[in-house]
Amino acid sequence: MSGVTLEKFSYDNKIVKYFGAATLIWGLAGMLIGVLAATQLFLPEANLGNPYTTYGRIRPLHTNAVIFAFVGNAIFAGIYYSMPRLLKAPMWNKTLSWFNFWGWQLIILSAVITLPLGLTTSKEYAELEWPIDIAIAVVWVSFGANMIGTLLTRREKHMYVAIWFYLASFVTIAVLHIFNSLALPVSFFKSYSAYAGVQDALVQWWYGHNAVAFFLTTPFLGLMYYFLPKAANRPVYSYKLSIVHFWSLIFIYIWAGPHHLLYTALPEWAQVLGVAFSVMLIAPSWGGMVNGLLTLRGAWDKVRVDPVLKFMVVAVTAYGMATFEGPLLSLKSVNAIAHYTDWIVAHVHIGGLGWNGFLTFGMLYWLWPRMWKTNLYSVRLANTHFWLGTLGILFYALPMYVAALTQSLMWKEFSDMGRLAYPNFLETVIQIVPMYMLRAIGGLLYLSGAIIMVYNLIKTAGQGIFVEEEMDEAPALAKYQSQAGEYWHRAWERKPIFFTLMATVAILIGGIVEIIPTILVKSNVPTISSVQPYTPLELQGRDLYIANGCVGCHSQMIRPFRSETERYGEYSKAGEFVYDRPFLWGSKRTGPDLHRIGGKYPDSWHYHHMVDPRSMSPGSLMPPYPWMSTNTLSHDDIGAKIRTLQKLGVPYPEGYDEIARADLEKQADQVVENLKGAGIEVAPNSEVVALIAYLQRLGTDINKETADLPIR
Amino acid sequence: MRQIKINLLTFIGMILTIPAFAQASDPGLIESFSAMSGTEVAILIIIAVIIGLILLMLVMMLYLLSFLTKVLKKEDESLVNEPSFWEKFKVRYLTGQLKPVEKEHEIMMDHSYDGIVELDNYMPPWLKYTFYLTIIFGVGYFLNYSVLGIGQTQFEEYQEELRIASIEEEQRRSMALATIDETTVVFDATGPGLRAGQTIYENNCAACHARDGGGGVGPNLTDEYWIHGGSISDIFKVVKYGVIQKGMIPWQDQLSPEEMQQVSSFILTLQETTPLNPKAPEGEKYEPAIEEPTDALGGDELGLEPVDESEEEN
Repeated sequence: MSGVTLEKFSYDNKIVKYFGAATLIWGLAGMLIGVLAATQLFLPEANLGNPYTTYGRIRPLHTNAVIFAFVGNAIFAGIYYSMPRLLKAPMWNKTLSWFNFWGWQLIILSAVITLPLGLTTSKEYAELEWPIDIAIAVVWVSFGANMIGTLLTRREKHMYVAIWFYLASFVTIAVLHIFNSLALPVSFFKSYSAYAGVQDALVQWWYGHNAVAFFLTTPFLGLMYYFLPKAANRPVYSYKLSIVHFWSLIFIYIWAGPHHLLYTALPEWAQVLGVAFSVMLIAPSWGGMVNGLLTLRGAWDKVRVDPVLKFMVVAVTAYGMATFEGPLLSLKSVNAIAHYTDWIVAHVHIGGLGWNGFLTFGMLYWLWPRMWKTNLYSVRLANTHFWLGTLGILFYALPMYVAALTQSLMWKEFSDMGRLAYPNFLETVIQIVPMYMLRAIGGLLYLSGAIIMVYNLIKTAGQGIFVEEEMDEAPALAKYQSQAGEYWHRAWERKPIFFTLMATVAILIGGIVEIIPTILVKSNVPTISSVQPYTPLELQGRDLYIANGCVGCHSQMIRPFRSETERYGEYSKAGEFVYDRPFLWGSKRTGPDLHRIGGKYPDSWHYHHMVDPRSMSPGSLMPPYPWMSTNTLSHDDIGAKIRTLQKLGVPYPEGYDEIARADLEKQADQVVENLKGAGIEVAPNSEVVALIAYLQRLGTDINKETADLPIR
Repeated sequence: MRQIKINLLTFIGMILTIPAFAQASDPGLIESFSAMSGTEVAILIIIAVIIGLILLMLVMMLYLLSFLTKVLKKEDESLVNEPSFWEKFKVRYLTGQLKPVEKEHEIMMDHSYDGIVELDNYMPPWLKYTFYLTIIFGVGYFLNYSVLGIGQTQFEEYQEELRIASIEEEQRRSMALATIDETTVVFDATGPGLRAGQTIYENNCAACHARDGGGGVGPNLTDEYWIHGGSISDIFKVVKYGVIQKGMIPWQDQLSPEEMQQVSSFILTLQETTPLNPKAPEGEKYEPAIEEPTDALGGDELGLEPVDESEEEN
């Protein structure tokens, strides 16, 4: 070693501290909002009587806060700590690091403001409107640039498996986010999706499923590969397994999105592909769990005493359970039971609370004492947190499984007379209310554990001295000398750009094969001639439906099951959604499906039901919307909306934007007239009028069809 | 390892629950069993006995084999260290050659990343073969549904469901379980019938017509004035089809014909009671003595077309 000169450099701990602190703050906020949402599901009064805190707007706030704020900041904290150390080089550009930090916090802040205001695209986990979407893309790419820059200035020749996962996550999230968010703006706060109906659904779930894959899974596998062997002080079990499961995971994951759309109007070949690849995903997913657990071989005595390892073991096990349950849920027969129920909610929370939450907690408990050069303030408190968290997960998941099976079987049950045994949807809801209460207790336990952690970490920081810049030294990267018989993957590991390109190719294939034919091949969406664009007033009502997050509880997709066609009417056809931008099929039925609600109830029923749902449906869990009868819409934007939709190809006649306002007012007057007949006085420009117009239109176009309907 | 065992148990538990789901959606399984004839049952029992015997013989043969290997090992000393079939199977397909923790430095790779080293273990065989099996399953699944067209499409499944339902409906008809409709409905004065009607009323009707029938959003049901006629058949009809443009929703999807008869009968018992907050009378005075109208509701009122309401009220 005598001839080698060591270069001195330092690691930036300050950025890690900031991201870590943001993880804690947003984590508490996100979980608290989750507990609020859980409470609203058995206590409608918890909606607090204003539009901003109703369930429909709180639910996306919760999902965004825990995914992008809590988990997102944890990813950045972990990567900004591990990546420089794995590459023996500080992060490439400090300005970019801080741009990444403040940019991300601003994005979260804008989500916290816009979502309660009802500014949303309603596409799950992609709710934020287009200006924020652009900001996300810019900040995300700057994060990626910082990683690539660090790779180019590294002192370690080969990239460790954690880095592979970081790179794949960066590239895939960028691709997914950009393509799913494509939309045409109407104004600064409103846009219409570039895709409609079936295509929008496919793109959304290609995104939605892979947001789980490449935001909640692959970055965390990277973190696991760094922090687990570090904490256990054990060698990683298998390098070969890392290679196999990394490439198979990223290649296969991207195909699985359509399993969110089984038995819907999505072309069946795409559904079948989604199922087949979901099943193939079991072993690649388990590769991560197996490599993590076997790394602990010989360290199990430590697991008993070290809270960091305890959290990590449960995290990895929860990951294994969730990734086995996922493929199981994607099988058609299981999906027919589980889809639209709380089973899916339980499934994602095993992943979210178990895998993401617990790995984050383990990581923070490990990081804090190291960055403050001290010991953890209290191991006992950490153990208390561990048990509260574990109990919280159980109390969350088990009632949800019971609720899901109970409700799903009630939906499907027929009486001896061949009629639905529970024709009133509400009966099946009231049955599971006790389970909703237990679930909220589970969430509360989990949250209290997290609060204890925050206290513990603050105390830990208080008793230590923060090391802002950690010094290290390493020899400069020597010029590569070719070796005979170098393993092909070893060669890839010293070529970061090439490696990133190969990962990009791997993740593009599945998306291209599924999405491009669905958009381009006409026969995938058979047209129905009687399906017409929405009238201006219905469009305004639809945008209200979107703004209030109705899609969070009400699906608009009747599956071809007798139990559904008996309850809701004819099953939904692909051609009925060609003017739906965005699609509103939904993913959960906390309330009944609404695709054929049009014409089923009188206008006055809807009016009373919106103002006070319990007056029409005693025991209903739906939040009341009394302000909808008094709040008014200006309708000044209707011309701009029509013009935007025309640009997207909706066949409104030339110049319709000029007369749309008059049509709108005519239809509004008609609704007002109907309501007057039932003794209800309401202004024609009130919100409820537009919403009623939309609801009464839903699913009625095919009634006019005289010829035979297409099968799909 | 314990963790893996736990996962295995979870897996088995989940597999075992799948048939439970299948049964839930297919209640005909037990019925078809009980519907078997005597000879069929006898044949089934015979088959079961034969399979049981074969299994018993297999177990005996395994025992014999192990006995034989023991004898062989006694006779030939060199065979003693030979691994058993199960051990070979385990190493080959399940665990692989696991290096003991003390010897793992032999397979440690020659680099370290921030102190993290990697072992050059092979992928565990059980995981590898699981991967192969799932790939075979995936390919088979795609071929079955999308290429060969053997598996039913979701629309074929639906048609099958409808076909079975229509057969069942046919059977119910032939068993003369004719359903009640507006032409056959009668006033059900029995105690249980009226009690059931009251429960249905309180759950579904009280929201608009008040618990005591005094009316609210909907008209007063206690007076003798009716908008659509006051005979049991009239009431049944309004309950069944609704009067959608006036705010009355149809109940035929939610209530069975018997239930609609019970609730209509209960509504008639509200006549001449005194509610707390009676709504002013609406419609015409109904006098049962006079010739009973056979069709109190015009066909156009059942449709969705907007009707001039001022005329209807008078």
